[in-house]
Amino acid sequence: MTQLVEPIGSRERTVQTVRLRGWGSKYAIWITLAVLVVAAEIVSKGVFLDGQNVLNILAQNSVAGTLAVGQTLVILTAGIDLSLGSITALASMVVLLMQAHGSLTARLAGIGVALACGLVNGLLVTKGRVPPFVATLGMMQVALGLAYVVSNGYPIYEDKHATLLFGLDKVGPVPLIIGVWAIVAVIAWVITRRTSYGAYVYATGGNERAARVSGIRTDRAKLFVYVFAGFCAGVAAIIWINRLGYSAPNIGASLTLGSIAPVFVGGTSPFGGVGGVANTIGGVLIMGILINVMVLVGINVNIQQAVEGVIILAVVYMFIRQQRAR
Amino acid sequence: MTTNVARFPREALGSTSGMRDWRRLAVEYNAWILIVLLAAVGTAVTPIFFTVSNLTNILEQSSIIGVLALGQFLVILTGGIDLSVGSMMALTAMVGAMAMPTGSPIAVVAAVAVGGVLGMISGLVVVRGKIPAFIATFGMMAIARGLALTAHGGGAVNISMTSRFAQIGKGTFPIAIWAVAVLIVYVFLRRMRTGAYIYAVGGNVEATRVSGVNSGGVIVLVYAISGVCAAVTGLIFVARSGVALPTYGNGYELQTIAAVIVGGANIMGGEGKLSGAVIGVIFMTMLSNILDLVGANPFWSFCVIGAVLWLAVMLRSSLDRARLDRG
Repeated sequence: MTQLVEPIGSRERTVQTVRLRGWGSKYAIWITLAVLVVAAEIVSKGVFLDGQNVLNILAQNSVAGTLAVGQTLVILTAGIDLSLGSITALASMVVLLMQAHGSLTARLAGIGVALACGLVNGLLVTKGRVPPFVATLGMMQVALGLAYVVSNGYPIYEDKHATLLFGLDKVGPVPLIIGVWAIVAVIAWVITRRTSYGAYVYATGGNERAARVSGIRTDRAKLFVYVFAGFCAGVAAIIWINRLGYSAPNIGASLTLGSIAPVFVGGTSPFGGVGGVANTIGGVLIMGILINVMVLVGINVNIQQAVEGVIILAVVYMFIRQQRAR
Repeated sequence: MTTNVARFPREALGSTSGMRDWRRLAVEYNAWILIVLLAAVGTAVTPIFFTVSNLTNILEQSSIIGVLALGQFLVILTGGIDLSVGSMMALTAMVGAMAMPTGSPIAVVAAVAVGGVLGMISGLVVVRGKIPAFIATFGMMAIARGLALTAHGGGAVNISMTSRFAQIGKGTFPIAIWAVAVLIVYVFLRRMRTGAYIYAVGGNVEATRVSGVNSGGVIVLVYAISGVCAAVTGLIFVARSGVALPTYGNGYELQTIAAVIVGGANIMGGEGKLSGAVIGVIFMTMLSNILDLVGANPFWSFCVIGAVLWLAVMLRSSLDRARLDRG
């Protein structure tokens, strides 16, 4: 994987164009989202902005959205986490196997396992010097294997539905899982944008060597993002069970890929250092709305994945062109 | 030609300490060491393991993912990655099965053409669009899966199991196909100039381009080959099961990558042996075969493969650092 060195001549642009371009790319995601919402409202003949429909979109994307938040932090350090789906599957199996001990114990156990998996990923990347792609590919296998072993390959169902919080699954019409997703996103946003740890995460992804030379402990930043991603996987497992009432060891493959797509669609750079949690939330919403509209207007659901693929390629292409222009 | 063209000249590896020597050998032959150890364990724990029928069985199971892994191997040699092989396999299986009523030669050509052209598009997106291989093929993965699902309304396509085409999935025929494919790749890598360029491109794209090699062309070619490998695998799958499903190959992309890395290829490109890409696949099948034979939960094989991946790569990176320390 090569990175091209920018020619020096490209610096000759005026400051103003750069600023304008910067503004455009900063808000491009929200402009796209706004346009999409208006378009969706028009083509669906007013069904789209119905409260229930909006809540549905948010609830449907809460698992992928939570995972995508964790994935964002990892990608910001120029890494990738291919194990998030498998960790979610393993954590959900642990929660369901422990359900007889009470939902709090079970959930803590699930999050604990997920954190442990994240920690192993982080240690492999930082101490073992294993490239993130391979480290997390290995964890994908290990977590998948464990999920199959503990469940013997069968789905597990909830014996008795465990509500999310204090006997509630919804406040009024709003499913609480949306709130859980929002809390995880806010935590991640605050960490990345308001703490020095977050600055280290961006610096590590922007230029690792420079960051290290200027005294930033890049290894700590990297260890942190994998542990945090593991935490997100644990939370996603709880949301999954709360939403569907069961889980299976093989749910992981599509979840991993589902966590990566919105990060890129949101405009976070695959090379690290650019983008962020807010972008990813925008990315999740764009993908969610597109799928929702396709369903509302009756486009063949089977073609959806192909459309997703084209969108990802188009967004990343635009992003990379813009980077080079700067 | 040695396998590490351009990266580290063989002389530079000349070692002063026995420890480093041991590590170098371990990295160089890790696939062979692993498979011999595993076969020894298998023979020790169960008498059924070392029988002709069981070993044939292992090869048969390996042959299907084996062809897929060959394409992945070539892509990884150039420093890329192909995440689309699994869904490409599903799409080409659907195309092949749907074209089957017009005659099996046309079906085979159609499937291979679809695989080759889509692979070429992935390659062009990487080279012309300057999009990282991971994302380019990630997009292609979604596109091919979407097309596979759309091809027949999300449903399965059956073929007649008595047709001549269905024979290629029977018995040891898939092993023969795999063997021929390995031979072709061998000749390509060792006897043709383009093959040597593949290692060179993986070693350093810029340097290779500057020295006059059409590195973009080489990259497009390997993705096209990977697409063709996916098509061959898809066709074998259809012939074997008599049905094409749009869900075929889910997760195979990561399995093939794991097999190639277990086989000793460097994920950064430029290094890796063809024999490793073959052994890596056999290792994975043999592992679950042994677990199965001794009555252990075969799912442990995933965990072992994950751990082997980590160990292989840690060993390699510790070796690379030892080289850098001295150089």
